[in-house]
Amino acid sequence: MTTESKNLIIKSSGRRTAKGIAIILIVMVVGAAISLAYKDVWSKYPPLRVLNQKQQPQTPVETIPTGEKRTFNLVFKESEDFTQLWFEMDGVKNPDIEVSLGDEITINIVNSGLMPHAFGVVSDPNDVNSVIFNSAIGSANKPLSPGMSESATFKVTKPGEYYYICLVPGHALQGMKGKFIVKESKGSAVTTPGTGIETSTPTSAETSGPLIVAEGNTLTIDMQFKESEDFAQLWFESNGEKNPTIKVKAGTQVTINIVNSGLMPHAFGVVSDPNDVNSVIFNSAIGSANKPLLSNNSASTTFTADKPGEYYYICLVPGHALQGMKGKFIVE
Amino acid sequence: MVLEVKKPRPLWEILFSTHHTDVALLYLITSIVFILMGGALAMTIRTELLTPGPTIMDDPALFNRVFTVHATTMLFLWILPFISAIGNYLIPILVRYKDMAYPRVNAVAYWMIPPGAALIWLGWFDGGWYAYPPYSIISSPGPSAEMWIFGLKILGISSILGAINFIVTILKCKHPDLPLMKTSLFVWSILVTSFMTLVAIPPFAAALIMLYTDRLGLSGFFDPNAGGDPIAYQHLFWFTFHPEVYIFLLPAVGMAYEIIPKFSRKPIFSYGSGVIAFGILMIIGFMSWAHHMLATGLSFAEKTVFMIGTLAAAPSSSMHIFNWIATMWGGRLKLAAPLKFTIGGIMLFFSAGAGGVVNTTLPLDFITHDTYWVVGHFHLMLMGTISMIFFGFTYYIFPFVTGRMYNEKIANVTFALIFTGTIIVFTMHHILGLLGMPRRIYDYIADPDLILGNQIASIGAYLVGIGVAILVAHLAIAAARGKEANMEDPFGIGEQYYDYRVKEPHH
Repeated sequence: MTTESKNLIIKSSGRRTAKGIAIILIVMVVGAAISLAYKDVWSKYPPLRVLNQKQQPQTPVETIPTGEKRTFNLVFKESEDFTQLWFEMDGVKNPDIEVSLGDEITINIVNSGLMPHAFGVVSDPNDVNSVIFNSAIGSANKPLSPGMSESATFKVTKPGEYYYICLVPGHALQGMKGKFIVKESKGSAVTTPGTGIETSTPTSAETSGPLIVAEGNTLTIDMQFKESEDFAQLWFESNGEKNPTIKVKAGTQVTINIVNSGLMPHAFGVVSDPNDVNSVIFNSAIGSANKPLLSNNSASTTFTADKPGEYYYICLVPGHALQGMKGKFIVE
Repeated sequence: MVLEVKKPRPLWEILFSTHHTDVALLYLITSIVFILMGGALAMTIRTELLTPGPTIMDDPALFNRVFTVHATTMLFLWILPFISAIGNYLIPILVRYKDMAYPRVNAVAYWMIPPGAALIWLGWFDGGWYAYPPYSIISSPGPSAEMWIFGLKILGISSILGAINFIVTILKCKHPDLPLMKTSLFVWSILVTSFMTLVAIPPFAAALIMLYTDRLGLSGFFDPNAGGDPIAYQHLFWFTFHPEVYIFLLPAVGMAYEIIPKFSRKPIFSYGSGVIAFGILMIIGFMSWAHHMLATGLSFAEKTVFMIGTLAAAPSSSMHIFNWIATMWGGRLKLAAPLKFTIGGIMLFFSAGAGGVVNTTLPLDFITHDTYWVVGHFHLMLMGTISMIFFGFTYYIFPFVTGRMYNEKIANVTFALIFTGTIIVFTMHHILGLLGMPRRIYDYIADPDLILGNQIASIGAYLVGIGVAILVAHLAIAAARGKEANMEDPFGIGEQYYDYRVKEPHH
């Protein structure tokens, strides 16, 4: 390099550089401001496929009679161990709500639990996306936080039997589900305000199904683990009977031959508390939550039911009993 | 702000120039702007995780959007433009040609970045930078997802144009007296990554189109309800983005090969093994994509193949590391900022690689999968190795760009802050992962260990943030008022520096 060429170097002056940096900073700040200010503008719509699907069923617009305004105050409730969830209205668990076509319904809801919840009237209680009447309060992605309260007002536009559930997946299965019945009314609404609520009996889990009674001192039962196709319903089956109640005398030797004819792993056990998979009694377990019986396998167990009482036989995989794999086991 | 030859030009002339040093300057400024913006999002993420529950954001969906834009920005708007910047500056000099092969294509490749970046930053997509279906096709809100898809498409085309330009410049425009085996290893690294870009980008380009038509409801490639398979997307995605990891890494390795011999005042220990290791890594990059999917239910044979394919990257990476160590061994080291950052990067490269061996080992992968361990692992690679070496190279190229020198003391402070901060935050991420903290979450269990770990990690992140902020601010000030550099040997190491006269505009 010669000194000649050195003379040709031009290094930007401080002022020119400051101008350049200022321009960059202005572009950055303005750009970031625009980007942050409008961050919600571009995410307002669901994917086009969803929009298209919604437009397809074009039912002719029916004339809907104008009904009355009704208000229901619901509370989200949870049991202390979170295994039981329910709605409560005026002290009643999951009441049936009965309204007339065209009524304007206002739901005021309070989340008094510790988990997030969301409300919606749905056509299919197993599908949180089947919300109808625009009735949702919150959603699975944006649920109502604990302690919050909110309300929704909507018009019922189609008669039928629907359900109101918690839209957080799984909560409806754990009990947050009630009937929402829309009656067709001709002309003016007939029902008087207040009678729309039926004090329904709290759904008790004690379904007295078919009975298996031991004759003599031994009892052998062939059982199967069964699953519905969408895995929402699970149950035991013996000779075509769902979750039969088993009744034995104290001291009977019980043999259970069990086949897992579902696709999920399962385990069997007689328990004292159906909500606690660790409360297995009589040494009756086949498999355990950690080592369940895999699909298409079978196993058997023999135990002596020596202590009288009302027990349950359940699937020991946590959550399966809640989904229906539960039957009564009575020792007399 | 920039060293010029013969006459000072107005700003617009630099902005719309097709000269390789001018395009490189635009790339460099763009990448530094976006590391600041992406870094601001990183600080937001770490602040949100300072305490369990909502800390500064009320909406969990906003958190998803923030980490999506953070990742997309850092990968495609910081690392890739920085590689293009240094490639544009140095490739014509190192192969002794007057410019890039196609100067206009070069400028077009740069000017595709601002619209792509604008789409990403306006849309605030919420499906993660990986955009896995089914979420991205059935419930991610639009049009932000479409904006992200098209933003990435534009950036992908920009990458391909750049890659073609580099390949033609290196192979066709190289000076006839200069054999390929005598060029710098940085040239080799850019050549290898350009070939990888050409092979790797098209599958993802196809996947983006399929994602888009799926979102429109026209097709169901990745939608199980329509008979599609979400896992197919992951294969296409990782077939692009596992090689992309090497596309990010190899230029950093090439930069280390530029810095280390010069600051050790010794020739490279083994040039040939460097070239061979580049070649092996190029092939291995395409052989190990499914190690990102070991937990998706691959068969045992597939998993084993990809585990071995991944482990095969260890020897060739070690070839580079030993090559560097052997080059420095017995050399008269000049511990200026570029070498410090590079050595720091090598150390963290080793740690990141060790974590990678754990990740790919089948039984261990099922423990670390989808936990913060993985976040720590790839950040050690992207931040600890690649960005560290990039920062070092920024200091190294600074006199060539501006004709001025930075302040060595301030550079040392930034090195200390960034190096310690990186170690704290990403080591802590590994530990959090083993404690069971899942990745990509907005909230975590209020467990004392997790809270403490997250707070230590956040402090480390703030150190890095402060370090990078000082680095950029200092370079901005030094560009205006720094001491004038000795353009023949700015670092006083007695080695040849890049000839500033190439900056003379000729078209």
